[in-house]
Amino acid sequence: MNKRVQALNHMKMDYRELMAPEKLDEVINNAILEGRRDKQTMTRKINSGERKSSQALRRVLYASAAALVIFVGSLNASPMFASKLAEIPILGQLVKILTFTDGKASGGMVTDGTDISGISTQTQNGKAQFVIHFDQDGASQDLASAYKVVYAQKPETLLFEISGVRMLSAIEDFERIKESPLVTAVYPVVTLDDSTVRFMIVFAEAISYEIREMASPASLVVEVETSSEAAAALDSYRVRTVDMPRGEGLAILEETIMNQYPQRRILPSATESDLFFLEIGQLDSEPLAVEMLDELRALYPGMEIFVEKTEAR
Amino acid sequence: MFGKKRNQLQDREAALIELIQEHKLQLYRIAYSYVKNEQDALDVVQEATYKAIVNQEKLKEEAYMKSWLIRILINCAVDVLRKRENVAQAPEVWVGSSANQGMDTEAVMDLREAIQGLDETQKRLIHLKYFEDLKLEEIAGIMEMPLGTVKSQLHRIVKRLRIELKEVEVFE
Repeated sequence: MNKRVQALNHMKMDYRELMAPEKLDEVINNAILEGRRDKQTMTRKINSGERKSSQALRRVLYASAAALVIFVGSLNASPMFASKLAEIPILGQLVKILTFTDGKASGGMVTDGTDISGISTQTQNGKAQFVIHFDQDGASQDLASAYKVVYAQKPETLLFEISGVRMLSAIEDFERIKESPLVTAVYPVVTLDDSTVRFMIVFAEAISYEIREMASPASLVVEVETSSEAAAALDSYRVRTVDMPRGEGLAILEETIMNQYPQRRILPSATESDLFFLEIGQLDSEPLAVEMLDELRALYPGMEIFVEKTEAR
Repeated sequence: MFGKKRNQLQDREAALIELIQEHKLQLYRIAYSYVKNEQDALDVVQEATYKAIVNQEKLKEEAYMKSWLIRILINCAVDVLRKRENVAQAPEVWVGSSANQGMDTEAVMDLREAIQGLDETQKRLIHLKYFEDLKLEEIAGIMEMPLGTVKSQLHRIVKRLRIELKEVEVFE
């Protein structure tokens, strides 16, 4: 390698040291949203003015056109929920319809100090809708905070994990969510991370669900209805802890096992109203469950765990 | 029929957004290499992202999406430079931080000077090829030049800079 090549490599390393500023994600996300909004209206030949006009004004002008586009878009994407949308208007623009892989989906952006300020609920004709709102300093956030949604069965649950959040004012809405005939329980799930909020909704029957992320204002729109597809009618065997109060003890227990057992869930006790337990795994046969139990007992002596048969529905 | 067209467009938009997200650091770095400060570089990335989303239907072949996106970005960066009052310093590709320049060896200073002596097109070519590691086909797309011209120009530049790279390194 001659000196010039060395010098070139040196310059290149120097050049590549440039780091992305923190604001880069926000700038890109905003540009994408703004671009989508304007593209939709331009397609409709409504917009003939130039782009440099006041952004706030344009937002107002385009809101109705954008809402129409979103409505049509949702119709295409999901005929199942078409009838509902006609009745319940949702504010904001569609960012995406969540696609679940292995029961998990995620999205949103990095925030700090967000309040999950409220969850509005409606149930009609056997369908339930929950709209989760994101606030920052008392005003609606433009984009949703980073979230993860996990779906699991037996019982059917949806777990919402939202980061960059300091408050869950929406806890006041939990009683109303419980009134829905589709829901058996809803509760905050304790976490050791003080900038993350989690809450779980437990459903009474097999469900089908669709979740949409909206922006300006930010929300997650969760629509759920009883599923016509019967869940596999098989017994299964749950490896679980004893019932315990919701608190740090439960969170520490979960943290201890979470890397080896990603399927874990915190579920409400079947008998005591304020107690919960940690489900570590669910297996198809009793021997497999006992094997897992033995493995756990060897790893964590003293952990109070047992196998429980969960009846087929 | 309408539905199918719509899905194609949605797929394209999804692919475009993924491309932007995947290459965001590269986009920012290229923008920075023209405008040389964080705020302007962020503005350039924002403007380019916006323009790409709004004009996505103008892209004829999705295979050229990355070149097309970078071309928009460079055009936005050059626009910013043109708007600056001090036209004398526009547009010039930056190829390394000034913070470390004090520690440059003599060989690096010589090379830096030699690159300064190139014309603007040559600077852009060497920037995209040796600093951004883009493929020759991608560079041809960005610069809107035939592939053969990109190759011969780069060959000439490397010779002029006395960078003794093997053939294979020039044309890989």
